[in-house]
Amino acid sequence: MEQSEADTPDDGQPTPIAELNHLVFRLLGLDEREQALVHDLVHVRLALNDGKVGPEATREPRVAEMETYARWLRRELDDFVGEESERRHAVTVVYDDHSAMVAIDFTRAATAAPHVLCADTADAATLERTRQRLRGEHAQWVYFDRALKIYRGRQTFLFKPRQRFHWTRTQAMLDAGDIIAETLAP
Amino acid sequence: MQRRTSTNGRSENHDDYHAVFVHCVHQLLESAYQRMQPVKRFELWKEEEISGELGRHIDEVLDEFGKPWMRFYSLAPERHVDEPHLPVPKRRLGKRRKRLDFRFTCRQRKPIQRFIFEAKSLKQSSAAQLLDEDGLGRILRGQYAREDIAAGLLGYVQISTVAFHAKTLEDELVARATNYGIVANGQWTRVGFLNGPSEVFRTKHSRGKLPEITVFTTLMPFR
Repeated sequence: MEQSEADTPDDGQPTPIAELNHLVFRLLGLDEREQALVHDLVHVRLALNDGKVGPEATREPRVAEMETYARWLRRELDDFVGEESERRHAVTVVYDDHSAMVAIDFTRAATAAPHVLCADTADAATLERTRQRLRGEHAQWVYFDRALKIYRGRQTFLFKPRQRFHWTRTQAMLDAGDIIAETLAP
Repeated sequence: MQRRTSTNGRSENHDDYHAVFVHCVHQLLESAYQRMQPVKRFELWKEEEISGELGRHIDEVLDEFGKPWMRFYSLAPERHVDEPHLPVPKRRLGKRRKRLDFRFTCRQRKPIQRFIFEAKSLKQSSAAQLLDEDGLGRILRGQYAREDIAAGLLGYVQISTVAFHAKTLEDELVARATNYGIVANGQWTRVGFLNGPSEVFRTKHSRGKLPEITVFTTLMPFR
């Protein structure tokens, strides 16, 4: 998996701490997914512990962090269907100042790396129209709930607030698990 | 953390995902079977002894995480079957409950998907061993796989050949299709699973008020 700023386990911590963490991960035999769980707990979710609403958890996610989320979400879903599947998952995120929509397509077309697009750019125009239409259809859910998932044909749409804790690698794994379970349900 | 996600609609990817699920379960079965080679040494073993070995090897395969998709699956061998759909006085409780031979689970988040196999030794030439009240009958009556849309029968071939047993089963299912609730497009059909068992056959059955069920019958030589 390619690395980005948000992929690094220590989020810009001083090198000795990052090295120490790396050594501990190796010593404990934690794989990449387990390392992500530890990292997100320590650096994001703990800011919500004991009724706290810390900025580490509630600040706006950086574009790189949303890209990491999208990449992990796609990887989880593609891992589930396996290498032998004719279809792969394409993931695109469209965001504005307040919220974002994750569009997941299960497609036969060759899929590029996930895209994260600002809603007011030309590249995002088609998805932004879809986002506005779906938001209109489900306005009450978008307003009251932290997240909304819509299944339409081969596509799945996730609506999420732009808060860091919704865009962690842990959350990508949880969201993928939800999508798999709900899609499999009779 | 409390989940606050609302869900709308139903995905058209269901059939693809479910096909992947069934395929992966059969791949796990085949991987475990290959670890039991040479299988002739099990020729005289009892069904539960072979099931125990098969289950142990499936666990080994899963523990090794040889493929990324394997982390989505787990196995519960010899799992008791609860009967919450029955009134309490009629339920089998404790050790009186029926026991499944294998129950695979795709356990990521709820709702949890399960795929059960009922295993039988084929030590006689009759098809009844797999299709009687203790085999297919349990699935058709809803004792097993009550909520599921697919389940498996596993035949350990310990006399004669796989081809012979396959023909015997097919003849019986054709001759008494109505008794077995075979639906219009549900006749005995060979299924090919890449990297799965070579002898798998599919039938589809109606079960009254319960969901229709696709039964995958796998014949594994142990001789």
